[in-house]
Amino acid sequence: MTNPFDDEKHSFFVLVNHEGQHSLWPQFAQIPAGWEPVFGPDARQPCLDYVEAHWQDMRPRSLVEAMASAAH
Amino acid sequence: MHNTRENGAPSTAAASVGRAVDDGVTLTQLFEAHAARAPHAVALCLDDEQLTYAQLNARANRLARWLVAQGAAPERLIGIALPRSIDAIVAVLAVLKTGAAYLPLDPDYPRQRLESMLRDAVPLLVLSSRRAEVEISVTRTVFLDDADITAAIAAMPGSTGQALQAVLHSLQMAYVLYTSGSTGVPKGVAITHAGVGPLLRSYRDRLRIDADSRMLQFASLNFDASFAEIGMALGLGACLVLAQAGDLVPGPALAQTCQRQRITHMALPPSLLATMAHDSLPGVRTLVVGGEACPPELAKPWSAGRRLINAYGPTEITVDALISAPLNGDASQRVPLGEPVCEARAYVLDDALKQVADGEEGELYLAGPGLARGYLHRAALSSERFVADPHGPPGSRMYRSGDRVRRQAGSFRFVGRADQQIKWHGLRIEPGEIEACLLRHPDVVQAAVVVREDRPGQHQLVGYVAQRETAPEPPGEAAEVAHVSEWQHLHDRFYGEQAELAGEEDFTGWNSSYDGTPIALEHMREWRQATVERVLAMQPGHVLELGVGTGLVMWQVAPHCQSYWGTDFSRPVIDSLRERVARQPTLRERVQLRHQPAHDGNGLPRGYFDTIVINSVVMYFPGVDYLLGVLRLCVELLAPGGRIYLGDIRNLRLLRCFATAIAWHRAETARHSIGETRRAVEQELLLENELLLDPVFFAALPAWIDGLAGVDIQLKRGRCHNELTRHRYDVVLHKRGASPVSLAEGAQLAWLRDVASLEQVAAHLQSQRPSMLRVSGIPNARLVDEVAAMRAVWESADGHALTRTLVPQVGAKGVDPEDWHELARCLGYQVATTWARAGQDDRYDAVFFAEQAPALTDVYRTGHPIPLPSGAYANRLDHGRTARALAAALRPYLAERLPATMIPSAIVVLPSLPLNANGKLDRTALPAPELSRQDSRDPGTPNESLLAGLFAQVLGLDRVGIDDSFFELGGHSLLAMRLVALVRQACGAELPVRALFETPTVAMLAPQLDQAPRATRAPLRPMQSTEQPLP
Repeated sequence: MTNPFDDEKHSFFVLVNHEGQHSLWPQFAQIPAGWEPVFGPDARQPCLDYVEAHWQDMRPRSLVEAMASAAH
Repeated sequence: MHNTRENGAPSTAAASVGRAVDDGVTLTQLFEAHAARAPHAVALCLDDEQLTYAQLNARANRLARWLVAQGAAPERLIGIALPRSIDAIVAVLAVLKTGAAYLPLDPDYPRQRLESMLRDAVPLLVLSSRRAEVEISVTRTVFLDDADITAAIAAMPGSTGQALQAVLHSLQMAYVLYTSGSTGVPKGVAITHAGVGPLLRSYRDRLRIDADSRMLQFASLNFDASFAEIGMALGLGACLVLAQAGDLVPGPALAQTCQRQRITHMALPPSLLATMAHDSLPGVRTLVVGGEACPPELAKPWSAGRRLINAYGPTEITVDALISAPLNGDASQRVPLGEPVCEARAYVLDDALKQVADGEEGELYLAGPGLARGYLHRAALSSERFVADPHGPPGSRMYRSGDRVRRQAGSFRFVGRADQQIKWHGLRIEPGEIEACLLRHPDVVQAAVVVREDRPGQHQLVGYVAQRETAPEPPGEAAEVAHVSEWQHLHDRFYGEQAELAGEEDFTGWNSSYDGTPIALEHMREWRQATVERVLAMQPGHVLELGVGTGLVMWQVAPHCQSYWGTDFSRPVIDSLRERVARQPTLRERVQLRHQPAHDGNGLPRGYFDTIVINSVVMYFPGVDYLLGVLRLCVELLAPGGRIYLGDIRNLRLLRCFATAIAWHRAETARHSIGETRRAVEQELLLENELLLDPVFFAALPAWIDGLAGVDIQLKRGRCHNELTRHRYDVVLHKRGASPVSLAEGAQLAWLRDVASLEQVAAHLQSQRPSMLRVSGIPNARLVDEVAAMRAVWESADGHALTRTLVPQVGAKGVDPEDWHELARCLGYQVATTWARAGQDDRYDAVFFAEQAPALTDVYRTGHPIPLPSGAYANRLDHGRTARALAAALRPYLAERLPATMIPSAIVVLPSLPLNANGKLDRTALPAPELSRQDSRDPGTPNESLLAGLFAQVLGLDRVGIDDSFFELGGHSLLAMRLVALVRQACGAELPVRALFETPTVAMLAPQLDQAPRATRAPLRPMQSTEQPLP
């Protein structure tokens, strides 16, 4: 039994939420509320490559903003 | 019954969304509130040292201010590499007070691992102490016990308040923990403050923690259970009790610590709890088990009279995601994992990510404020493990745990892992990480790591590797000399010890390969008698024996000869023999003894000897080329017409049969499967370190050695069935000048085709009186059982259990070779028995001839007329040598790279790893690691006796030799701790656990006992200067 997130047979999206957090997502499942696809559908590895390339600052956006305003 | 929605339902608003921190949400804010409310309450205990909340808070504030001055700030990491101490707890609080996150670094981890974590996490600095002896070069390290640092910290104000940066935001990191990663790289889990408040509320209510509670700090800082222990004590106004590592060894030491310190609350992994006596924790009111599945049998005794609670949670969700109601000890049911902690959510999802019905199995997904931010600097890995949550608030995430569970009556029950992750003494281990580490070794091509239970209740982490195929070792002289001296070393040591006892009938060391017990005396007497008769039948006059040993042959043969020269590569052997020969006037004159190896002809007369004996020695030769060299020398030393008698040649063609029989004997007691037995055979073949030879090799010798006139290969004589008569044979080589009678031509009867019984052959001989008759292909009665066992192991369907019943009783079908000798005697014939043609390895030929012949040749008829290169007829000794060397090299290799808990107790080298029909690793076919080395010596010194006894006690074995590795006998890090504790009790020596990993045998450890520091622990331990409170 292969978990849908590990199954190379599926196509995937890359989703992003309001905190800028990224999630792999199998194409067959409905995209959950609060998430937007930013890449895909594509095979698993290209999706992971996309995440690696684009999710550079892994801090949640609300934290980045709080730190920025505290610095001022 | 606990309501899973206590303290409010999961927020309908975006639960994972960051928010400003309210009062009392972080651990330090909760702690500071208690310090303000009850400043004189005891916060921390270690042995007889105590700190109140006010004192602890002041110390944490001073260190925090000093850290801020160094640059500590939100989203920065501070490493903590401190042993169990008050300083370590102060450091945790201080780091959190600065708004930074702490990164625990176990001082006992190998330097390579620590440095790879540091390169990944890039902390601002590492807090350590000189006592921790941590060597780190990649990050600035501050030693808290250095005088200038102590002074600088002491100069900081101890008050709470301004200048300390409070936590700004709940999604700031609080700590980073590295966990085992399946791809071989450990990953840092970034935990935030968001889940801490709800988690502590759950602990307070479900574990009944209040200001009177005394919580044991058991877990190492490297495991998140320690964060829970610190939090539920210091965040809830209770007392946190620390102890020295030696006082936390599960068993009597831990029980005493709990009683002395009046512990009321503690948490232990079930596998450690299982080692405690049921009545040994009377004062503990709440006992939490977690870290791995708790067996129901454990829940029953431990739930009586106290609250026994199961807690569950991967590191990725702030310690615990599920906490059970008090367990009732119903042994018939799986222990429930628990129900979600405050504000947490848990789903059981199918492959379509839909929630399954209650009672159905699925994978457990966890969500809520405790969810980690992800893995540090590992975006892709984070995006596949922390995924969009279709069942929670918009934009929220969930973590897929990899655990397969069922939900029943609101609680979750563990079913199994969806992947290969192992729970090992409560620790989470990815075998993939250990495998990846093994695979990085240049000589390893395949690797697998599994947990085995070969003895009930004794779990063992075992690594299997397949070795990279090396080019055949060139017949380099250096390697051969090394091999000879390896044997010489063993031999010297062995005979050195036996020299006093050596007599004319000394069979010490002749042990059965099947079960390791000495071969019965009557078997050995028969073996020697047959050898002596064979040599005497040659009517020897001038004899040279290479490898004379204790003189088993010499004592019997020399009295009948004019001269008897003996050589041996062991000086103690020659010295002892000389001494005894000197006492015998009849031998003194004719016996010459020399200390030199077989290939050394110095001082030996050329063309002089008529008989050269090399008995039971060839198997210790380093290879075919060495043997050929020795034989060429022998031909030179022989007078024309002389002969070389080679006794006890081990038969290469029967090696698999022999190895299977050995594995079979072992499998009988250990209930091994066929697959395991096959692998054990493969390993036996690989590790064979003696030289075995195909009879064809000798038949082909005239092609490689000049001056030979004949080759006579015969089975060993003897009624007894043992490995000597079954698997060894004798060869006589005749030098030119002899006129051996050839048995190649002559009448022939094939077994079964022409004759099928002894009587038919007897009738034929009597009626026809042939001058020569070969009866070919007779099944060997000595071997029928082993051949049947071999069929059972190699021809049965895989997966069957191996039982005796698989072997058909076919003993009646074989004929004992000795029966032909008896028949020949009755009928006035001579007979020679020899191996049947190659390909009929378990059969033999009996060749009858009428005339007495002084010398024979062509007794054995090879099926291969054209000889292959000589190396094709012998086993590859370098395989065994390199396999053993590899297994020995991998332990220190792993120890440099992995924490001690991840180092397999045994490493097994196989020719290849077994695969099932799908091409995946067949775990059921992996052989059990061999437990005891047969050549492990008995203890000699008092220290060795003491240690060997303690090894045996800890490992539950009858006997441990001083060369046995603690880990190969089933030891692991927990047992290592127990051993160290026993050593301390027994002789007061403080042996570091690390020493056991580096030098795991009694022989290597014993000398260290005298050098080890004495244990300083009195019943109540005086404070050490390094642990005095910072002013």
